[in-house]
Amino acid sequence: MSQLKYVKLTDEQVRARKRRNVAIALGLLGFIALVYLVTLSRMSANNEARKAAEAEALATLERADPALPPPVQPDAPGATEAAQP
Amino acid sequence: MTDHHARETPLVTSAQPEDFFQLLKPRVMSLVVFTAVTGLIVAPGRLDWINAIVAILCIAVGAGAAGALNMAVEGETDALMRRTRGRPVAAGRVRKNDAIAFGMVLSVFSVMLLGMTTNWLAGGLLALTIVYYAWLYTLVLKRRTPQNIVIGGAAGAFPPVIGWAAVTGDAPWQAWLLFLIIFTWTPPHTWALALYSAGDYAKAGIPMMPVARGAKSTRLQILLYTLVFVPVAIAPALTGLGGPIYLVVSIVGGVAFLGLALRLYRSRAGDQPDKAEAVGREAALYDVRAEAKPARNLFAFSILYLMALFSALLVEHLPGVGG
Repeated sequence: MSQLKYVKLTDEQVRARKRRNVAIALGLLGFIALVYLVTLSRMSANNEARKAAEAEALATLERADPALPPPVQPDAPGATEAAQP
Repeated sequence: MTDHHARETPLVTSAQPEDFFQLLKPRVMSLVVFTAVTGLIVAPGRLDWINAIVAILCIAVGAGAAGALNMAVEGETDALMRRTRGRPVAAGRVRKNDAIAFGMVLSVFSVMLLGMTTNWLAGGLLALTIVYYAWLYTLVLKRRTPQNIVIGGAAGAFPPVIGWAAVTGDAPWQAWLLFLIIFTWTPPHTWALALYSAGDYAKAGIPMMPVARGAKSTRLQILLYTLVFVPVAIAPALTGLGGPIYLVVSIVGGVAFLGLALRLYRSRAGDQPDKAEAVGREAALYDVRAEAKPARNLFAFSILYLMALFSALLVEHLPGVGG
């Protein structure tokens, strides 16, 4: 049976490996932080774009037929009764 | 395995994080960042500041990854050249496979994050830049043709287009005009340097123009490419991309560039061996023989001129300044 050979690291190699590991950890944390920030930024932008699109759609409806009753907002008081047949 | 092989490829590395950072070619990265920021600011439209910073970071890291892959592949060649023998792989501080893995991981992460942050045109252009430099220039062109840096130099010209595409989602002709400025600037810039470091390239077997065609032909080609480059550099002022500041900077600098190229053409720069070879000692980048000074001057001015052109564009497009 062949004997396994182990590499014995010098103190300098151990120190270098620790420094590399710390650098990798910091890099990964930084990457996670970047993805988080970008996600927040894009969600915020999408939210604003969606609100603008809804407002535009409402304005278009009102211009098309001013006689139409205003649409019921989901969280307005009495919305539940109004939704019932 | 013999001891000789074990010395060449150590089982355990002592590479420091700073060595891996040097793989990214920080000086080249700074130029990449600067031109990419210019493209981003000059482009019509606006990018949220968080996304803008992340986009520039991705472009910088992607360019650095290409540099790391280049150094990994060119380790043995770099070890033969005075200018590059101190690089991490050439000097044996970082193993070749580690540099390749480092470059590949950074390439994937930077392209993915840029695509997610902005759009996939910008991400795709960054991926193209990395492949162009690491494969087409480094592996295919560099040892095959004296026109290697003419074609391969396009890799350094992509960043302003990527910055533009990150903002607008497209790459119109104005963005490609910025590309063209750097593309036509690269040959006179690189060959001026090569004229007084030809000995290094000859030792490494790289067919740079002074090695393959001689110093006189190189000086002529520098002049000819300069005659193409200077009008291209002035073009943005005529297309509305650049304003009055850019017009003055491009014309004054262009005339100076042309004058230096003409002086270089009439000189005997590159006809004699490098100073380091002649005197047998290390020579700094700008420490050259007297007859090579026209080449050194053009090289140094070319960097200044490019910085001035893009600075002028930046200043004119900053909010509250030009528009």
